[in-house]
Amino acid sequence: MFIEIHMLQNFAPSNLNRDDTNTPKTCVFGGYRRARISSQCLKRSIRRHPAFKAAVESHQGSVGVRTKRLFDRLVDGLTTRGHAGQVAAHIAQNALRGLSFKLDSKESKQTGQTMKLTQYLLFLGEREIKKLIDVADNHAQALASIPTEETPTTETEKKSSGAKAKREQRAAIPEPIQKDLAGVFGPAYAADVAMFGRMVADGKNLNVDAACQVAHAISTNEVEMEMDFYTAVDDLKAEDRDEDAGSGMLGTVEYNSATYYRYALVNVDKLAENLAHDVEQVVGAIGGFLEASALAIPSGKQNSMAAHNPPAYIRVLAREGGAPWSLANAFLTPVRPGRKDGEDLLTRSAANLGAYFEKLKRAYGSAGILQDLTCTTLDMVENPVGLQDLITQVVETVQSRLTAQEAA
Amino acid sequence: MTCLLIRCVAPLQSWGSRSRFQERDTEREPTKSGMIGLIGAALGRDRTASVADLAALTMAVRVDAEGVLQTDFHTIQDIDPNGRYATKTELSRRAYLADAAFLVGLEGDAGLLGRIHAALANPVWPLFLGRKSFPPGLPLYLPDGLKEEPLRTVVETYPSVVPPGGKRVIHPERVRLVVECPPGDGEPRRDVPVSFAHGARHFMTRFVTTEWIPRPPTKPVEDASA
Repeated sequence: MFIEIHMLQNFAPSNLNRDDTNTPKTCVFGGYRRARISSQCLKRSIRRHPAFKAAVESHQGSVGVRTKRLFDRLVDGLTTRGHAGQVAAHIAQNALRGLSFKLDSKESKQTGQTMKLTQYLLFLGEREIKKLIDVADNHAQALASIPTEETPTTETEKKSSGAKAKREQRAAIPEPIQKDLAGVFGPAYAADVAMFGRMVADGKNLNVDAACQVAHAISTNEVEMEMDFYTAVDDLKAEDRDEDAGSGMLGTVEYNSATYYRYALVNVDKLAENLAHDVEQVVGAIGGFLEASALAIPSGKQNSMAAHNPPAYIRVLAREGGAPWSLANAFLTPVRPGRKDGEDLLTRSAANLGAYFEKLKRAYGSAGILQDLTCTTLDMVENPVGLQDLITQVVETVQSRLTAQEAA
Repeated sequence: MTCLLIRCVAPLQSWGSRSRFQERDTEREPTKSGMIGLIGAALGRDRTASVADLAALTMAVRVDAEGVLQTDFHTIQDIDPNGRYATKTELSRRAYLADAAFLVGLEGDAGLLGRIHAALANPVWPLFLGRKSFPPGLPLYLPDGLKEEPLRTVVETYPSVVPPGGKRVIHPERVRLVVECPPGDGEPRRDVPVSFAHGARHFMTRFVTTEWIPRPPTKPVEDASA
């Protein structure tokens, strides 16, 4: 079962997502230049929106943390289980070694104490961290009896810790313990790991395929890049009689304004698999994803642009069977605004999107579509629903289907 | 001989063949590994499953619209548990083709191609064109995509898959055709997958020839843009 999300969202002048030259991202589509907001930018704003976390946590789920400080968490957990500080550190270090996670030493800026950090940030759910503490605790005696490796401190030592060195280090930990440690990761992940996936270069068994697909948002209209020329005045220079009247600094900022077509897809079955078929948690993650998709806005350049423009059109389809459809081709020929009421970019984009969707249904049939709901600020849609109603109805569909599957 | 046609049309597509990590390239047309990955997703095959039967299919690609080569500048930033920014940001440049339109033809076992054809209409996992954020712009499934003719005839005669609308720059009289040939002829492409398993991805080489053929006629399609 798939949940398709189609959105139209018009942003006032802004620079929400830029490239390495500070220019708002663009692409060519249908032979015309369009504004673009990248998939990764949209996903990050959704992941970090409080609505996602709130929905997940109200359904007994958890949101993961990105951290290099797994070692500290492990030591804390082991200490509360009665292992003395030194021993707990020893166990923790060997447990991470059994997972091929190298530790680097770094001095804390605040306390001056030496911290042990994993080489890269790990994306973990609280549940996974708790299970890791359990496994380390169960094998505490064995792990405490293996001598620990030296943590590299110099740059050359850090660089020499290639894959081969990691394998050799891991080999010091007995195989059954290695297996138990690896078993911590999955099959029930934190909601955001389950939804957005996880990629770890050194531990392939930790990789999780994402359950959602988010397309790059593309503008339905053609865009031209605009430049804002700015000057910054030196307040004290003006009082100096020997100075000219020029400003202290000048520059340009590029920006644009566009109506975006946004498309995303949630693969419900994959999400259920990533959440170990816990229906309650699947429901929380989907509800949170829908709400955060509607409410989250990228933060780029917002302090000076404040383009806080909610979507004008949110259409959500639940699909059982059949391939999902992106409706981007409704805008191959760019939408142009007219001068009268009802001829604005949003209204015209919504009209094109609706017409194109009907054409697709005629061509390919609509047998798989179970539900088709629209939340909108536009007057042209019949029977629109509010966002909360839309989420409730979609979530109910998902819930009843998954419950029926569990029973079967 | 049975053939199956797959339509690859999307706002953005990317068909990497060599790169990993920071600098990610794209070929100018779909790779064999990309198509097999896509078919695997439609059939619901696990990453670790064998793809030997799919790799055995002969592939041809007709380039109806070359598209424009562009780059997405992508930063990967991590934050520490306190919500402050970590210091290290990875930079990555990822090439993609905008506005491209391809017709991919596969020739081989009739039963297998029939199963793939059905799976494209009803995929187990969502399909995408080279990257997860690049969904298809038109269905990959062509209702008349299963043909009982040689691959060469099929890719030469099937109508153009360029959707109407917009103003693509395309050559009016000819299209590029990339066809597999026996080893030794043509140019090598290292994109025949042996395994997609995490950490054990492995590819072999095939050979292709490139030629120009007359542009096939455009027939009015049902799913034209609005």
